[in-house]
Amino acid sequence: MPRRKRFRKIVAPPSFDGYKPYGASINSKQSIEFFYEEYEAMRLADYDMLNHQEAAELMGVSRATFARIYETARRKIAKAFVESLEIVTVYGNAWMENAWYSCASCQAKFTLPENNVKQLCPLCGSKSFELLNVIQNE
Amino acid sequence: MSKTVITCTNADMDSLFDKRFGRAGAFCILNEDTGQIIFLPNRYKELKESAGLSVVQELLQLNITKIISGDFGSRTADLLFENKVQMVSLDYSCSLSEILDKLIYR
Ligand SMILES: [Zn+2]
Repeated sequence: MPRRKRFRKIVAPPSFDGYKPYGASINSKQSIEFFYEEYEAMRLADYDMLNHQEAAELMGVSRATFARIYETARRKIAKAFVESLEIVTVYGNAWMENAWYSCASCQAKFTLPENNVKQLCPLCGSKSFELLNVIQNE
Repeated sequence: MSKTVITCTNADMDSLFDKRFGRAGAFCILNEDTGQIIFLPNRYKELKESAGLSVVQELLQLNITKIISGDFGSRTADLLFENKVQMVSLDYSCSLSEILDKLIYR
């Protein structure tokens, strides 16, 4: 049985699509996929300076899960730096409050309330959709 | 339980999808678990202002979980976000039955 995909709540997505090293001696075509929830974990812990418990609560995950996401985030960044790899931000398993999504199959735009466990396009049932924008509350 | 509202032009099955929310002609309410469909005429469509908010208040009393419409105003959208009602926005014209077919037979 495939593992059920679990979505993490994030407050704000990264405001960039990726990072590219310059002046690197290695010209690798490889890139690192950095998930939105990994960006969020790193932002909360190392930029907003929250402790892991507070950050985990904000993201709606257990402390152990937060620690795992955060650890993966750090390892990916370290790998990208050391190996001069490009970082590409991808949607990953993120879920956001007050955000709109767009279905790739039927073009419906929709919201995903927290109590909505299905994480599918509500019209055609497709799993393929992307984040459109975020409405900032503050 | 999953109750979906679709904004439509008239309170019958031959109706067209109505992209307006607060000023839609009527509301088609589908119980996605049982397939039961009921219609509710929009008694707020002539309101000068806040028609959308009045409609939301009425629909919330019916415990709806999802609304399919075209343009939700920003205050209406805020209220729906707050009450955890899923919004689906379509920007094309079609009949009500085309939408119902997708929901029932997908
Ligand atoms: Zn779809």
